[in-house]
Amino acid sequence: MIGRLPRLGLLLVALWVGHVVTSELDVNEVNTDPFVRTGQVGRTVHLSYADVEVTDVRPAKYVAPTDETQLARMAGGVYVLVSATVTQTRATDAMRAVYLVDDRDRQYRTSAKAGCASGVTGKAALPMHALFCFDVPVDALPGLRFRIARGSEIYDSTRGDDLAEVDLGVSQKDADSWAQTEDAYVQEVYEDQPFELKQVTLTQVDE
Amino acid sequence: MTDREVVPAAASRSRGRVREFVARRSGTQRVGAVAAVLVLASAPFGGLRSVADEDIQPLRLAKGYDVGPFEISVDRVRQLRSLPPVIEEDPGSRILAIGITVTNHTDRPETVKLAYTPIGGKHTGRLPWDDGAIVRVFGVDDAVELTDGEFINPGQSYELALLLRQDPATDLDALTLELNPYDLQEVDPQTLDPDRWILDETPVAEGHVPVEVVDE
Repeated sequence: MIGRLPRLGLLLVALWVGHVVTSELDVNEVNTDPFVRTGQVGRTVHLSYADVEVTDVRPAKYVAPTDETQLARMAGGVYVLVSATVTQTRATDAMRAVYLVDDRDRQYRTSAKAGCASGVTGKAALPMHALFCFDVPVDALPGLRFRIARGSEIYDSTRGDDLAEVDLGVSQKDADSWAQTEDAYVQEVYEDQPFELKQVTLTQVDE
Repeated sequence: MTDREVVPAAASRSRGRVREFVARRSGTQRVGAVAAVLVLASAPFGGLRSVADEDIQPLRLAKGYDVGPFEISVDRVRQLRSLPPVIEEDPGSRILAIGITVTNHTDRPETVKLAYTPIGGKHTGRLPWDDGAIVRVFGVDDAVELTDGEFINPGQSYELALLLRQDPATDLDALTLELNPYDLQEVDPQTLDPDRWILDETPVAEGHVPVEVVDE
């Protein structure tokens, strides 16, 4: 027969073990990371539901709105402009998970103020051409990779699904050069016709 | 059949002494003892974890404060009549421009809204903007207004101007500002929204800062 105090002790130990199991161990986590399909600039990455090709990567200090009366958007670091062609292969779908990752696996979202694409929606077999603009600190430029998938990274709905990862091929030498850029380009979003990025010269606005 | 002497077990004698000891205690002492036992029993679940120091630092200009996702410094505070080319003069109000520097020192993008929400104040004389907004946020470098949907990427720093519409009769000597930190909520089973920043109502720093009046 166990005495009351030992029973109380056992109860407390059982409660503590339960607390540790539910709060410290990832008992609810299911390891369903995305299936990453890797590629390089200029080569198509085939996903189970879409084809993705990064066609161009370049730096900019400014992105100018198409409305010429508005002020140009200036990067805090460097704007990394990623042009990509996305073709849905099965059905109409939306690629909402679009971001860069650096060599420390830190993520970088598109710049909302730049007004470029933050995602791309397309019909099956219809290539959509998009420009994504990311404001990235200069020390994160070397080794940047571009990631795109359907679903949304906000709600982690890329888990267990295909995700394209394209090495943007930014070397340390490129990064040193990109950090000095003063280039400005006109914003683009996405459309079903290929577009050329338009470089512009900005004029000073008097206060 | 043989009569046998019944010898009380050691445990039974011990329980008897405990009962006798407890019986001699007053009601107040018993309640106190139960409370102490409950506190000790909560120890495995964090019950004895020390309460965080709630020292509120005096707010200093240009000093960085860690509020969780960002390091934020209040660089200068000015009262303006207008802010060309983005805001024209309004005779019925002034503009309180709070210049801050924000650095995201996490490993993920965080919203601009998280950067300005920690900044509050007392006696600011705040009036709503025409659209009902409390504050308008502009990048200092490009004078572009930022929306709540804007993200600040990891390692990125921005100088921002937080613009409040202000009553011209505001006593600027009584104005104080405060910076509130965030707590990270790693798991939120109710919303399935992990790693959320929850604003702490106790400021990390607060105090009066000089307001530069620009009468142009």
